[in-house]
Amino acid sequence: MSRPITLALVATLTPALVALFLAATPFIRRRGAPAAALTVLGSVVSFGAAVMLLLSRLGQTGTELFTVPWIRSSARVIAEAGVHVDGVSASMLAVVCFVALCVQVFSLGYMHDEPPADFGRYFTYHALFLFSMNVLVIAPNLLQLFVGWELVGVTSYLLIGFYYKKPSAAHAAVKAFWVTKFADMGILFALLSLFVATGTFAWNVKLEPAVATAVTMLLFLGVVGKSAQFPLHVWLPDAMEGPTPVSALLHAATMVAAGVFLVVRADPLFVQSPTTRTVMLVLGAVTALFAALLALVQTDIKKVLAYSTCSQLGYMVAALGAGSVLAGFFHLTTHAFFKALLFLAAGSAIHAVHSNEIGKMGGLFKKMPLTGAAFAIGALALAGVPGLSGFFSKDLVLEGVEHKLHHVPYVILLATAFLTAFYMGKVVFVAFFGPPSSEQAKHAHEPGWSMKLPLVALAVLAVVAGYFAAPFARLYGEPYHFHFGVGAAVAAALGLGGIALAWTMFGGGKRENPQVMVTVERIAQSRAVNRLYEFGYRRVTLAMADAFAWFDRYVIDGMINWLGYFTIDAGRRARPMQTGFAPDYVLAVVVGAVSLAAWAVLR
Amino acid sequence: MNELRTLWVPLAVSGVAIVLLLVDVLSPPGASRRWLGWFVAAALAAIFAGTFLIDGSGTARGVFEGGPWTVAFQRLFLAGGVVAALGGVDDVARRTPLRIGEYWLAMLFSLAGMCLLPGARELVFLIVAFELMGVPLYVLAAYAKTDAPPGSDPAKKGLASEAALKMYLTGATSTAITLFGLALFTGMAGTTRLDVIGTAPLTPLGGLGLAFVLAGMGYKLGMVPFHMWVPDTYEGASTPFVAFLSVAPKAAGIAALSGIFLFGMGSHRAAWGPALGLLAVLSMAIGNLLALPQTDLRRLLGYSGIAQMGYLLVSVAANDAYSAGMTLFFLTAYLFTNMGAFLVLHAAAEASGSHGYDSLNGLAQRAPGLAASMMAFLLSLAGIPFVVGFWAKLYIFLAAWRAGLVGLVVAGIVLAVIGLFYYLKVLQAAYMTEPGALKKPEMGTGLRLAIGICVLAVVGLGLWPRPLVDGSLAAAKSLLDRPAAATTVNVVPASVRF
Amino acid sequence: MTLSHCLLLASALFAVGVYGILTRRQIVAVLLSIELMANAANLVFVSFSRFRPSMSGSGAQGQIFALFSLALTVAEVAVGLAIVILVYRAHGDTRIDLASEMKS
Repeated sequence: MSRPITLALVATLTPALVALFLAATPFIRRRGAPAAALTVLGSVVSFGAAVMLLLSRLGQTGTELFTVPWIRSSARVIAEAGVHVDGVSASMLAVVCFVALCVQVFSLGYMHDEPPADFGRYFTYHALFLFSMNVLVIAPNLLQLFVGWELVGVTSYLLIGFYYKKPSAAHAAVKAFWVTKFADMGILFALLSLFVATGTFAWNVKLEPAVATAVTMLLFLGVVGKSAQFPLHVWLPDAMEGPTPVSALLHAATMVAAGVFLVVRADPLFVQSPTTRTVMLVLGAVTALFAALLALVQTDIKKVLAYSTCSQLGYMVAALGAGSVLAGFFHLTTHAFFKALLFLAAGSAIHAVHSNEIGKMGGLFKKMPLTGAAFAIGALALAGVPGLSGFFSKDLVLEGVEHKLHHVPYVILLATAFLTAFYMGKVVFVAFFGPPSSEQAKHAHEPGWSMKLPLVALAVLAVVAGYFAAPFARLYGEPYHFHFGVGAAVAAALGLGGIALAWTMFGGGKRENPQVMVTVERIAQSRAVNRLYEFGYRRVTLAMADAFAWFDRYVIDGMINWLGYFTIDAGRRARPMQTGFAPDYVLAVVVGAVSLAAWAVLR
Repeated sequence: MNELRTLWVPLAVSGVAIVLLLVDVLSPPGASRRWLGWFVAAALAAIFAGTFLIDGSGTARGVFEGGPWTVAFQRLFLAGGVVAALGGVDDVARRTPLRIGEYWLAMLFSLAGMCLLPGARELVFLIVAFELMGVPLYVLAAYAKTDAPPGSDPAKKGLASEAALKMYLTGATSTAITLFGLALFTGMAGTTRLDVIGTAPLTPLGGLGLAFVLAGMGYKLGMVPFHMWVPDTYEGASTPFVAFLSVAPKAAGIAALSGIFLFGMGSHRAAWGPALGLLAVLSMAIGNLLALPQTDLRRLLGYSGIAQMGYLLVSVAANDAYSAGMTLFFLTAYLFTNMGAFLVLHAAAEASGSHGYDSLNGLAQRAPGLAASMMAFLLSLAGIPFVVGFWAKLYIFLAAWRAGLVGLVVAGIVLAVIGLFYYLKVLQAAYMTEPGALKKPEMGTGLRLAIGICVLAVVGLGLWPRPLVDGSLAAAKSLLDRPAAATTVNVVPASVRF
Repeated sequence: MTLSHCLLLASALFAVGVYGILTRRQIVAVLLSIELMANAANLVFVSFSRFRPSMSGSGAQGQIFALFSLALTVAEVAVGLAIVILVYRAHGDTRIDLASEMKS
């Protein structure tokens, strides 16, 4: 095994060992602090390995592959498990490990008040998550990727439902799992079709156009679920029930990005289906706009960020649909940094104010300058303000979609950029500037170093990541040229404009509510999509389930029971055959013998 | 001398019997003869061990052959004898203290007959051995005479005589039918040697004779419609003896059947195969159906045994070496399973005074070990993994399937499902009831040992059946996969065709 | 006299025996009928030996078998009579329908 492979394995298996160990030793896990220490340590190791891997890949091309046979069927190996190291997986691995480490360190402070047993449980889940995500990232084929996919889904469920005693959290966890599971059917069918068509689970195979479209559409279904695109976006806002660091890691930076990562990986397949790509482009753009509108009217800071995530994922999906895979991947990376930053900073604010509502915050910048600065940097990056990482990646995305489909998605995305800047500006001004709106806001203070350090680290990356576009592109395998053209200028202007508008409406303590916002609010409150799903669930699925249950109980069980009673009854009826009268016994013997003899002779 | 060596097992058993007789006669009348049962157990165990040391292969004048097949069956009978002796030693001593010696004598003589059967290669020899096995069993069935089992309804005395009578009447009739059939058959075949009878074509009269022989042998196996004595005898005779009766004579009967039909008439399978198949299905059906409404557990196990023989006959009907091997495996599994089950029933009945489901009430709480043993036996009877009964059923059905008897196998599996119901009902009685006023059953050392041996065999062979399966296969191959007989017989002249 | 005659006679005896065991009320009579059946078998043995001595060995195979059969039957009857005595001691009579306690 070569060095890169070893490094990848170390990065993946270390958290696995930690998770396994903690799962097997309740007496250590329940003490809390040891579990946390172990997990963080493991993440440090993973991160170190991932960075070393990344550095070793700079300047390299080609792929390193290491597999072991996994599923066999009568002498043929159907699937393998192992490690696939290339620029894409190396960079993704580094991003995931970095953000995970930051979040875990942040959690040390944020979750400090939890009881030790829960504290330990939390970190065990985190270790499990890191392992699962890495399995997905280094997967050499779609099957292992799917395994990682499902595992992160499970971990997401466990972490969303971390406060399982809260009914809303439990519901949210189930909803997340249910929706993504529904989408995962798509991936399953895609894998099956792929296998039937080619006999492997590899992504670099040539398929017939119809088959390619089918497979990629099915895969995209999984992406729609995992990356919370319309109409399967409904679980993401509810997932905010989980602890904020979890939202930062899973539901902003990494897990939801797995869908995007899948498309990046399976690019050779998606290339073969322009139809799917068109669908992706349209859906991505629609989601971006739709989610941005909904983000406008949220008052819960986490929900704003959740819809924002949804919207940004739409950007990525649109980029992928436009064929600019590098753009989508790059945006994934920068988004990971600044979204995680935003969430953690929000977490810090929430921690200080003991509430998620921006209406309860206010003037936090004065009380928590570091947090405020961090949040602001993240917001600016998200808005696409020139100079920060978001600007570069958004620009790449916009460039990619510009000429597709008569510029329609382009325009949508530009509008969304404006909205994004606007709602982020709103949050910044309402929460961090102006007068404090509650008692807690008045007494807010900065958190401890464990929560400040990750903020700083992520903030730095949110700023500089854009400048590493060239090496990033090289790792991906494409050239990168940046030019500050008209498109970039327009996007930058929209970003700044949105912030400016937000300032006029919300700066200095104002709370204006224009008509647009009211309309959007009404739409958001109608929860149309959610109601549709509820209808589907209650009226359709449950009704079908009831029908089947009735059938099972009365028809199938009825048949079996009838068979049973019939047999017992037959036994009872046959009983008098045994008369107890000895000559009858002898008669039976004679009759038997004679019958046999007759049969023998007459045969 | 070599011939005597092939016969050493039955001779040894008879020798033990004679020693026993002498000891019994020469001991003073008041002396305790309790130890005779232990002596029998020890002696039989010694002979069992001896089968591994002394090689009895070879033939005695072409009439008896002592190869692997014979030895395998003999070990089976000896093991059954040991368990029967251990299980019955206290019961016999308590019930009939003055006639202990004759009890063991009868059992030993029956055993000697059984040990002669699998090696019989000649029909006179076979039928004599068959009767030697059978007649002492009538005696043993009647052993409790007019006594009533302790604690049972005093109005129901004399049941032992009724049990023995029914067994005897059906048995004697069957013997007569067998003899008549043998007469016709050997007359038409022109020989009594098993290796030769198959070489000539089968005439209708010979076929009739063969049919009678099958009918006559069926009685010993408890095959339908010759089974009607089974429930009554199992109810009326003493339970430790019934444990022995339920397995050993059946195995001996299968040995005899295999000798005549597989070894002798194997090439004429079309003549007797379908008939055997039909009888098998009838046995499975009647055995399972009639077991369902039973309230007396001895009768239930009796019907269960009829059904089990049905399953086994499917494998016998398959008529090849693999099936014969699996038949032998099944018989071994069945021996320990059934004897164990009866012995547990015996212990429970002694404690509660009845033989119904209520005798097992709360057994799991009263005597967990005993209940667990019963569970092992019942699961084995039902064919549930991973006790030996599962493997036994699996293998015999597999063997029959491989031989092409698909319909029979399907029927067997379907009917075996019925069996699950009443076995589990018994299990439920042991585990899911309250003890009420019942106490822990007292068991003598012998009974404990016997049940222990059975459990060990059932569970051990269930986990590790391979050695026994291989051994059975090898034994079967030694019987059935062999070059054709050298002797031929004078073909029936055209004028005397029947 | 041919083999067929003897076989017919034996079959007739056998049939009479069967009739006897099915219809007689006394156990001893049933035993007698069983004996009759066994003797029919012996007759068959001997007839085959007489009319078809082409068997291997000394040609007296059937007669030997008949002798053994006799011995077997005698042993069986001995035990049977002992059981009859048992039944008598239990019920005071030897009617066959007395032994019908156990059923179904």
